[in-house]
Amino acid sequence: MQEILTYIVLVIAVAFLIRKFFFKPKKKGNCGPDCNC
Amino acid sequence: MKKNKVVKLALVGNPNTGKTSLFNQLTGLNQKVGNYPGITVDKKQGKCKISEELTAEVTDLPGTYSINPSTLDETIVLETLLNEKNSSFPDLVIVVAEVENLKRNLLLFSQIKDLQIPTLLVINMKDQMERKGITIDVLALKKELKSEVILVSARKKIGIEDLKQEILNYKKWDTNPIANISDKIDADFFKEVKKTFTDFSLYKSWLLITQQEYCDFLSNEEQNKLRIFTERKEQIKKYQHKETIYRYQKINEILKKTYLVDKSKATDLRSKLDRILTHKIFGYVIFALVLFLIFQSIFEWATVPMDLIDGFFANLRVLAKNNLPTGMLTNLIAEGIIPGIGGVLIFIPQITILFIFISILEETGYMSRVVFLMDKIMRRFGMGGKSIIPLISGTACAIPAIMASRNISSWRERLITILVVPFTTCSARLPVYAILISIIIPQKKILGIFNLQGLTLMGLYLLGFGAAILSAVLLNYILKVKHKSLFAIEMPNYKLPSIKNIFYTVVEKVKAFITGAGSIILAISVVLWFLASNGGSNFKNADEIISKQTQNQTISKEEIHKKIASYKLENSYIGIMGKTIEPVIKPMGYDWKIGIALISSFAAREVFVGALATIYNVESDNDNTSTIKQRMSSEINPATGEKRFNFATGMSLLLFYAFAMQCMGTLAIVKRETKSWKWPILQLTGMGLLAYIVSVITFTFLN
Repeated sequence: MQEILTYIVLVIAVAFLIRKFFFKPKKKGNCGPDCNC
Repeated sequence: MKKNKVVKLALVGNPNTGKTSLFNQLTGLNQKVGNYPGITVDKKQGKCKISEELTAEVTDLPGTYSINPSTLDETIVLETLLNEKNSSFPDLVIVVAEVENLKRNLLLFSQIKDLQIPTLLVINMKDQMERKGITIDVLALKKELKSEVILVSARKKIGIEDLKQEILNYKKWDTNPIANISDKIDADFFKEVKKTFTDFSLYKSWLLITQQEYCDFLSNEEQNKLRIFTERKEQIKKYQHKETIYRYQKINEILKKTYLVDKSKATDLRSKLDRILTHKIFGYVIFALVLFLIFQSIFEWATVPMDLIDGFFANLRVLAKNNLPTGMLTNLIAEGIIPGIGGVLIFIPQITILFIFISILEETGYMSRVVFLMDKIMRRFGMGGKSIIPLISGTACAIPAIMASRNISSWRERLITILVVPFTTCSARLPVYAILISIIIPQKKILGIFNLQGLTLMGLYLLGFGAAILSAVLLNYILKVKHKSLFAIEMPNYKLPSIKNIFYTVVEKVKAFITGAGSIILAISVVLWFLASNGGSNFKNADEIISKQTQNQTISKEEIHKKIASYKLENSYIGIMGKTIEPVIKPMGYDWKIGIALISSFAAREVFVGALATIYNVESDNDNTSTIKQRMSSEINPATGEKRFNFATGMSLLLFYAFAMQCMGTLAIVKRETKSWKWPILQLTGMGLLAYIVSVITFTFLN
């Protein structure tokens, strides 16, 4: 059981890093082209 | 008996210009006066006897910066000036300006003047002109503004009678507009506007178009005409920007001819303070002292809370290991997650202290003086004045600093700024600097007052700034920037810092550090732990291999256990990766473990400490309650038997982090701002090479 949970945490961490650095999602909102919101 | 005529007079002006004081002088009504915004929330009216024949019904309108409303108060001004059916629609308008901030005040004046209502400019606080070293050529200003201009001091009742005399002649005032917006923006568009609204002045029509949501007072027919322009929102927005830019250009031209500030003649407290704080010698000495105080405090005050946090996580790790059921997840929590979180939270005290000081400097108005001082240095090194804002902002984070370079009009100058900003010491470097300095620099005082660790930290900040300036000089030469952008900064008044504002800024920065860098550090700690806790056949058979190797030796069980842990780490996935890169980093004085932390911290510099904490924890005993600092201090170089983090390696690492581009976020923003991969790649390789060479030289000389 501990092993399964560890692998789940690992997958989440890797997915988070990939998303953060390679597939940064565009945020929604009323932002113009000049702002970083 | 002559009939007494009543005229409607509106008092308009920016907040804090003394408009309400003038209203009191004219009407004699007892009104509350203050210099904080929002005091005038409703229209206030009173009567003023101008002469035996003329009485003015004075309306004190809320303070506003322009007639493009952004608050409810400002809509009152707009509606009063546009709606001729409004009971307070004025026969004449007095725009009250303040002598010190005339430029900003004239924006509002120029808008109202263009409505072609009889308008007069009152410049208040005349009594302070001499003290502030200000001279105004009133005749020339009248000519340029096509308006009557009266200098008054509402508080000291100076110029009030002159003003009343001028009001008597309001019918003779020039009502021609001063800014010809149609030609400067889009002549065809404004021709169409003029054709559509034949009953209104051009500027009034334009305001009705731009402020449609506030025009309920218009007739149905007029509303229908407005709808023609509703669909051209983007175009209108663009033209509004153009209008503001054009107005400021016009105002600048006028003030250049009519308004002079000679700071050397000023005698008020603010000017006296400015003279000292921006002095060509004392200014820099004071700034150096302020920096010195900040960096001393970071080490003096942060040590105790940092040690407490570090010790807490060391104990928590042992507690988790001893009390949770044995297994992989427990190991991950004790060796990966807890040290990882500890590696983030340990730096909260230092970041808090740094931002408390930065907020105080901003709140008091001193930061603007620093910007002004630095502008002088920048120009000597061939940089434009506007580059200083990004460079100063870079001490917090390079990402918003690079975005702040958008107001630099020259592309090449902006590019140079973008390329050199990452050299300034951002808050992400602080954790790395702090831990390394506390390990390699003794905690002693020079001359009994100067903390050596604080001095080292200050030296690194100055080094970063110096590197940015020198790189700019070099890039300036290579890219050949011909035109430097002009830099104008409005110095705010000095004021006591608001504790509430400081609190919010610090909370926001600490929160951003924990949630931004913290989440990355945590995720990387998990991945590093996994790579350090798993490996190939040598890793799996470590017990057997070490037992065989030591079967003929007389060493304790504890020693054997340590040997197995070391062997496992060396043969783990991360060990294999680290050993592969070791030949490259060895000349810098690093072993493979530091190399792994170095590569991991490419995501964000702060990861360095957390990564080392994870690697050392995987290798350590279960009951070891050593803190991150103790672990790094006690790490031994097996080749020499000396401490791994000795002075030579520590300095080499400090300088590597001072120069290297260890931040993916910054590279991404450089790519976005330059719209090319060429510049971030150049930045990455250039800074990386410089960092590598400097580190190798440092280690070679100091070792």
